[in-house]
Amino acid sequence: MEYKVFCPCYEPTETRLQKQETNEQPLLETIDPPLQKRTQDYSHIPKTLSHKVTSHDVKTLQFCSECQSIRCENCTSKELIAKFCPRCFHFQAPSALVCNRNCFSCPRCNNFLSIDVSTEKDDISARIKGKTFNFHCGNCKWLFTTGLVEKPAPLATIVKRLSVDDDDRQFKKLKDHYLSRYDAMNLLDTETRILYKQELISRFSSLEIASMSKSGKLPNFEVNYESDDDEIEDVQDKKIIHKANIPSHKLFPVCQSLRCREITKCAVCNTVLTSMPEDASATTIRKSVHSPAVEVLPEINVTRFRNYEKKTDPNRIGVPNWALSIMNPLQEDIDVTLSYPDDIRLFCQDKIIKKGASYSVHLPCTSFKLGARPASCSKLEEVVKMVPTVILTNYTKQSRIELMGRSPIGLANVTWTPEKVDNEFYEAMSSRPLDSGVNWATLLLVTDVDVEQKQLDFPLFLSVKGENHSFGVWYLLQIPIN
Amino acid sequence: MSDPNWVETASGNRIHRTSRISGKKHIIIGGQTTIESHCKLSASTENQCSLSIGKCCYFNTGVELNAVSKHPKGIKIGPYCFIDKNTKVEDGVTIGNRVRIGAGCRIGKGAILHDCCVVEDGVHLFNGFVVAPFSIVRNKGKNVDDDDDDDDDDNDDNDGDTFDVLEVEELDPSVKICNEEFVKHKLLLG
Ligand SMILES: [Zn+2]
Ligand SMILES: [Zn+2]
Ligand SMILES: [Zn+2]
Ligand SMILES: [Zn+2]
Repeated sequence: MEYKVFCPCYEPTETRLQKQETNEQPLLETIDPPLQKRTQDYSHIPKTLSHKVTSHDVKTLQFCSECQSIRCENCTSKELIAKFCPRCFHFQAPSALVCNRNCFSCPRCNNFLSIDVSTEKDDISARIKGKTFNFHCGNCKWLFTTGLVEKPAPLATIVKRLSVDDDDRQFKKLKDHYLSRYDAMNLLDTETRILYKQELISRFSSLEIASMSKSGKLPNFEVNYESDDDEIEDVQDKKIIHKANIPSHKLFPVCQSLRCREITKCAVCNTVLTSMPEDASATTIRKSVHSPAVEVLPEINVTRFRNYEKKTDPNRIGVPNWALSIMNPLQEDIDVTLSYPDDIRLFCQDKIIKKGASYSVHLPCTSFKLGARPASCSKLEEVVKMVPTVILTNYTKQSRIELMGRSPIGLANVTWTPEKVDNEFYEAMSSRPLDSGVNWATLLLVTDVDVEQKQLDFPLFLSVKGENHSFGVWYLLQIPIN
Repeated sequence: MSDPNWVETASGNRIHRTSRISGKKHIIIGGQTTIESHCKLSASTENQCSLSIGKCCYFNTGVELNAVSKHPKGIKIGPYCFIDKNTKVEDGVTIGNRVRIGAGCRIGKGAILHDCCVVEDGVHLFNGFVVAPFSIVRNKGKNVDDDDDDDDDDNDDNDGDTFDVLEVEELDPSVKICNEEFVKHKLLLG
């Protein structure tokens, strides 16, 4: 079963002013509590709850312990700390875009290119004339040669120089033109004149500067279209070629682009959420993620009962009973309270519920305690304890041993029998979990959904209170039914 | 209760009886690793250990690990790796921790996959290719070599060699967590 977690950062914040104008009700009642407060209690259903962009995979979320709230991409900020090449793993200047250590890929297949160098000497004087660099792809057999390079330069620069074509030249002309205009405009503005002085001197003659500052007019920078006509046509021709397959002799080795190493901060309180140790090498992966949401938010899993099979189901359409398991990832005991809207039709993603068709859920037990996750869980014997009985298999020795040690009453409660559809069973289970263990509990979930519906979209609000944590969070469960 | 089709070792490795393992003495498996049916693990008998597999790995049906070509490095696979159906791993390959390789892949000789990489289904990874940590490798299909200087549309099939085109992208670090979960569940919950 899949579920998404709702982040309230897109929730509109209503201002006091608007409320006063449009509503005559007493002020106290109409003003929403601040966002922080609102997200911790089940006071109202968020306006953006059913919106696609606000629900996230829990793995992509962080938890800010300062704000006691989850943080998604939208409500975190990133800071660049270093750049490195993903191939040779060397760190490079933050301004660099490509690797400067001879890492090139094949433009046709993306394989790494091997490079060999041959030095050319003058036949008579035996003086070194220059070097030729040959690129070779071992996969598609593509070859590229730089020709004789006389002046030593970084290989990336040499390749870049060779690959300059008419498009680039045309673009450079246009760029130069606009840069000149920009500078001239700055010149007219007396305040910035001093700042740009150095650059202006290199770009204009002293006579031009003098006349510009006197007349207060921009110099004439018109592009000479006449002389460029041939080139423009050239560019148009090239564009057509670009659409077709570019012949391999017009391709160039691709420089390896760099990767960034960043730290993530909470956009509300600026707390660092993920960082990297200062001395970490480029292959180091262990980010210090201070608290990923997976280590804070309880995990939810909705399943059928043990041994449930459609064939044994007298109705053959799926029984309305489900087992909802909640697992606590925190190393502290927590109190959990569940809430959900009365009408969940709004959240049905298919949006094709027929009139009069049923679409509702019922959780008999909504308030319970969960134990702390054991501090040590590196051994399998410890991990297996954290698997709820309802989903524990007998496929491994470890799980079979564990299953034998589980509470017989709990096991009976989560094992499917035809009697489990009776009202008596609901009533007996009205206030307590079906089964519980070290850091988990399994609850009864009753659904009343029309046969034709394939999936049940169910928004569930979890309020968690522990020694160090107190937060509320909306889950959007997607239960495959029928 | 235990299934007769499976062999379970003292360190908790589970190996399906239909899988063939040659050069047993030169293979090290870390424990809690599952090897599904019809896998082929072959190790060279010349190296002290030519095939080493970390703990908690999962190899689906038909995976082939071929370390017999006397490559000095042999095959090394880190813990928590998942290799899907019918994927072949050639000699000299190093695979880091928590790497996930899709179905029907071929990992070329001497390739290095750093930690937490994902290789999608059907990728033929080039020999000696290095994949940085947190990368995803995709197959962008096949291309035909038409290295003709005159760009005519000659459809001479004998001229063109087809070759694979790959794409490498950066992955979100959160995959680390998802991968671990995945392997844990595969092991315990079937
Ligand atoms: Zn957010
Ligand atoms: Zn590099
Ligand atoms: Zn190539
Ligand atoms: Zn914060």
